[in-house]
Amino acid sequence: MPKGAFRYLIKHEIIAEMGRIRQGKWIWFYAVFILLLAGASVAVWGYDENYDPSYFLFTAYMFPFMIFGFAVRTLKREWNGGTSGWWLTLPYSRVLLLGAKAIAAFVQIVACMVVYFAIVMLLGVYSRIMFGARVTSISGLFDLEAQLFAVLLGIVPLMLVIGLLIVAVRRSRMKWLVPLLWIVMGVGGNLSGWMMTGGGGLIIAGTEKELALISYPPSLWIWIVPVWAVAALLFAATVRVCNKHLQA
Amino acid sequence: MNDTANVAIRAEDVCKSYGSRQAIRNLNMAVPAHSVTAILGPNGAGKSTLMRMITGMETPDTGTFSVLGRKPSWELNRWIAYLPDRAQWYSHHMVEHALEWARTLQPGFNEMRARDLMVTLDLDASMKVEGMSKGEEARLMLALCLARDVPLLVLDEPFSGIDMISRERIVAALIDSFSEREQTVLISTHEIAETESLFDYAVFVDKGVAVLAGDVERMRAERGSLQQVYRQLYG
Amino acid sequence: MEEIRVGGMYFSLDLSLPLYEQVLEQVRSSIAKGEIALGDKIPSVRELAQALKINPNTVMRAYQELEREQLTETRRGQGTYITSDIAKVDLIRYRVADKAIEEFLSKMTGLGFETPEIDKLLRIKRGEAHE
Repeated sequence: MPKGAFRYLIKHEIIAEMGRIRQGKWIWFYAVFILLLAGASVAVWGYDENYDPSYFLFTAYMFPFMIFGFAVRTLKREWNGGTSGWWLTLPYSRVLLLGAKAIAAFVQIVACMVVYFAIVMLLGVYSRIMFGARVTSISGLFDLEAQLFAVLLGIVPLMLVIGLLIVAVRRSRMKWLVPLLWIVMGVGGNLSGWMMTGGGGLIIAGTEKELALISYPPSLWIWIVPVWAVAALLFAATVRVCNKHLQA
Repeated sequence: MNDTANVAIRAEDVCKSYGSRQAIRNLNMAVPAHSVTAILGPNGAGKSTLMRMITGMETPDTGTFSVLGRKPSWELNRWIAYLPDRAQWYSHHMVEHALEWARTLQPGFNEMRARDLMVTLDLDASMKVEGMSKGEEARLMLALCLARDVPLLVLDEPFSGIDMISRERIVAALIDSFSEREQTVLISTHEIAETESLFDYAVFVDKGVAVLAGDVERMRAERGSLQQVYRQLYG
Repeated sequence: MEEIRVGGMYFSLDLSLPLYEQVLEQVRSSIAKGEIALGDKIPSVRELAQALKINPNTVMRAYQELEREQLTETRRGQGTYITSDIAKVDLIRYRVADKAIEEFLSKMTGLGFETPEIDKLLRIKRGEAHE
C-alpha cells in the first residue's frame, strides 16, 4: 500500500504547485517578454567582439537557490494552508512523506532546467546563424550545457534538503538554529556557483574563441559523493526533526 | 477505572512544556473504550496539546501515553481518524479530490459511507474547496474522518466557529455514526450547551491538569448538567 | 430542553439530571397514558437519539430496560414494538400512579396535613370536579 501512496503523494505535490503556477497567467507574459528581450539583446550585443551565447549560462547560478525555494515552499505550504495536521498524522514514515516532497521539488527544478537550457540553445543557434564561427559551435554549447546540467544535478539535492531542513527546524524546539542554516544555505549556494564555473571562472581558451569549457577530468566528479552524502545526512536530520522535535 | 482492557486512552503523569510555559502538568486520564468522551476546558487549558500527543504529532516531556494499548506514533495513526485543531483543506481540491486523497492515503476509508455522509452534510462532489465557507469546509473534513472504519476518532474543536446549521448537521452525522458502530470518540470543545447530551464520559482540563473526570450521567446525578459543572469549575 | 414529540410520545429532558432515567420514565409514562397504543411501533434507537439529540447509548440503555420489563419487544428486522399485553401496561399505570400518590402524600404531610384532612380535601376537590 505505501507504494501507491508514495506515487500519489508526489502527484499531489506537483499538482499543488501547478495550481499556483497556472493561476499566474502573468508567467506567460514574462516568458514571452524575456524571450523577446533575449533575442533582441543577441541581435544588438552580438556584434560586440566579446559576445558569446555561452555567457548566458552564468544565469544558471540561480538554480541552486531556486531549488532551495521550491523545497521551502513545498514544506511550508502545509503550515500556511492549515493542512500540517493532516500531513503529519498520515500513517507513513517521515522518510516517505518528506521523500515525496523532495521528489516533487526535484521534478520541478529539472523541468525548469530543461526549459532553460533549451532556451539558451535556441539563442545559441540564433547566434550561430547570425554571427557564424565567431561564436561557439552548437556542439560546443551542447557540451557545455551537458556538463553544467550534470554539475547542477550534483548540487541540487543538497540545496533541496537544506530547504526542507530549514522549514522543519523553524517549527521545532530548535528554531534557534535557523540563522545558522541560512548561513549554510548561503555558503552552499555560492559554492555551487563556484563548482559550476569549474572552480574559478569560465575558462575561455584559444584565440579562435573555441571554448575550452569546464573540462572536468572524470576523476574530479568525485566531489559529488561527499555532496550527496551530506545531503543524505541532512535529510536524515530533517526526518528526525519531524519525528521528534516538532512543536506547534 | 482500573480495567486496562476497557481503557482506550491512558495518560500517566504527562508533562509538556513549551519553553518556560508548562502546557500540561501531571495529567492523568483514562478514557473508557467505546465511549464518547468530551475533553472540556477554556482556551489554553491544554486540550489541543493533549490531542496532538495522542496522535503522535508531539511527544510528552515526561510521563506516558497508552493509546489502544500502544505508544502514540505515526504507525498507530492508521487506527485513528483525527480532525486537527484549526484545520483547513487543500485549496486546490474539489470535494472529489478530497475523497481521492482519503481513499488513497487513509487506511479504513469507506467510500460508500463517505458518499452517504456527503449527502447528509449537504456537500457536492464538484464543489471547490477554495470557494467554500468555513462551515462547508468543516463538514467536508468531518466527513473524511467519519468515513473511516477505525477504532478511535479524535476531533479537536469540530464546532469552533461553525454556523448553526452546519453544527446541527454535524451533530446529526455524529449521532448516526455512534448508532452504527463501536468506536471510541474523543471530542474537545467549549461549546458545551449544544453538545453535552452526546457524551458518555467527560474530562475537565484546567491549566494542563485534569481537574475532574467521570461518567457523565453520574455527574448529572451528583452535580448537575455539564454546563453547570463547567461554571462551577471555571467560575 | 423544550418538549419534543417523537412517534406519538412527548419528551422533555433536563440536562441537569441523568438522561437515561428520564428517557425511561417518559417512555413508560407515554405508554401508561396511552399516548402510544398497545402493539404500536416505537422509534428505533437511532431515530429517538436523533430526535432528542442525545447519545444513542443512553437510548439503548433505556430500551434494554423496557425490554427487560417486558413493556416492549424487539422483532428482528422490524423494530421495537409496545407489548400487546394489557396487563403489563396496567402494571405500569399503577406504578406511575403509585409514584404520583407517594409524591402527593409526601408533599401533604410535609405541609403538616394528616390523613383525615387529606381525605376531606380530596372529597371536596372531587366534588368540585363533578360540577
